[in-house]
Amino acid sequence: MAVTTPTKFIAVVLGIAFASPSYAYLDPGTGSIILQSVLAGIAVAMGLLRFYWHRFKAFLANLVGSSSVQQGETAGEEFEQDSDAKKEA
Amino acid sequence: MSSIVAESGSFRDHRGRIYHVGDRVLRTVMPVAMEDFEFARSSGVVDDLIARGLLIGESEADKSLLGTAGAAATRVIEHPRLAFVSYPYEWSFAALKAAALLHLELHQEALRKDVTLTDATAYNIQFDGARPVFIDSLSLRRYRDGEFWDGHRQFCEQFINPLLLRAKLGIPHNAWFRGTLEGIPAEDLSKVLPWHSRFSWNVLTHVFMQARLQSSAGSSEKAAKRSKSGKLPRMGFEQILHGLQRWISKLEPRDDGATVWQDYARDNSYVDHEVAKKREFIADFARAVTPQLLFDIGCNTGDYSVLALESGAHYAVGFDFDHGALDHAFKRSAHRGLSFLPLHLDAANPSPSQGWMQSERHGLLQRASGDAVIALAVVHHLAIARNVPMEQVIDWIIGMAPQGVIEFVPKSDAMVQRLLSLREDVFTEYDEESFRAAITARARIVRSSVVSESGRTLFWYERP
Repeated sequence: MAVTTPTKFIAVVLGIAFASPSYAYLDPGTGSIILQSVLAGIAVAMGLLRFYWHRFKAFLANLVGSSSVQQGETAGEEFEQDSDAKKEA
Repeated sequence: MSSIVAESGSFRDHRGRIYHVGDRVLRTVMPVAMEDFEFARSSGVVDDLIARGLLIGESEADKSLLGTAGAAATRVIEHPRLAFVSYPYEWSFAALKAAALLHLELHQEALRKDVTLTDATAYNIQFDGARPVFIDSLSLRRYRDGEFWDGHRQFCEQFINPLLLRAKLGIPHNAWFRGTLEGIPAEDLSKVLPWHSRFSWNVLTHVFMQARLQSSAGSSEKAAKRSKSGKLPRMGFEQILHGLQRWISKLEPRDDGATVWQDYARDNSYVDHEVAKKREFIADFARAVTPQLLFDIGCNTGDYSVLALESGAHYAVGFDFDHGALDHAFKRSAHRGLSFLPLHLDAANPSPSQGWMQSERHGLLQRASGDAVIALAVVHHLAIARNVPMEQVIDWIIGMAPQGVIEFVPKSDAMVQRLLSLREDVFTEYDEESFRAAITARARIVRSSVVSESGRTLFWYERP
């Protein structure tokens, strides 16, 4: 997933460069078509941004998460040591 | 055998056409449309949309019903007949908004099954009461990956821009739309919208940017070629539709305070027991006549249409010129799921037959004849405020339906006094006697009843 999604995004961004015939019986209008390209480009850029933002958040969470796990383990050890001490007492 | 009449408004799309055979509504599916027709149906989206009431129903019909037109077609399908056909320039803001949201919902639903729409015309939507229904089932066709939304400009011109006219400037879309028939171009709207409306991302892009791009690219062949060589990623397509849906669902009229006639229910010359008398008369009429189609001229927020529906009428089409009252009436009908469609109408200037060959969009009275009509507190607005001879007003109303109720409001009534307060009273023939004579010259008076102390009188007529 981590590899395929951005690849897909990049593919669709590049896709803007390839030709696609119109199937309309009505004239879609040049202004509308250019505008749609712009809006789609923005949508894709926002999608990419969102994707990397989530990855960044996940990375941060991981960083904070792993350190808190270490703290937990330490705390647990302390607790065990503590309870052991109590037993001894 | 009934004659076959091609619908004069159905000529743009060469892939099929609507025909009327007696009361039946038939659609040809031409060979060129077959692939898309079958694809849309095999995707399951057509059945799904019909089941959800978003798309008009269809059934296979015998090709021979359409003679030579049927012979040229691959298939002929039949649609249920609509109670009344209306046009976007007759819709209230609330109705146009509901139609826009239906279009977007249907398009998104279709895209999930790889089906898209060939166009985005507002005329493809009709109303069953206040419930919008998409009627052009041939518009659904296979989606090709990367294609643009062909109907985007049309959607802007026929839905977004007319809605913005009222939402941003407080100007109802009806007169402009009726004039152009195809909606409001972004190039025109961008010239009248205030500068600060650019702060809205959607207005900036769909109106101002589109207008600018259209006028700058329109003159250059190079730009046109470049625009044709692009692709719209599917995700972008979905985002545009979804974004528009979210935005439009929040649009409201700028002048969303109570308008003159919205307050009429409270602010009129009637007192409560008089209203009860008037209601009883209308309820009796609806019970006796049980019209399939009732016209309510000057429907206001729809009190008497609703009463008639509760008393035996099957479907009511209301007409009024007050936009606030119409929005209110539409929301009331939508909220209660009524068979009541309120439409904008200036009775002194009803919708004409217009468009190509002056028959593409039909005039109000060419579309359907009512079984009954009620015209309550209307005649004085035409006969006094608009100077229409009273006989002609009666003639017009009685021409709408074989049976009806018309209210006479005497000059002494406060509402008529208000109309006359700033002008000379030149209406020497405006009295109950002439009113009654005008009706009896055209119909039989079944019953009449004085319903207010000021002398307001209801006349129940029946045409011979």
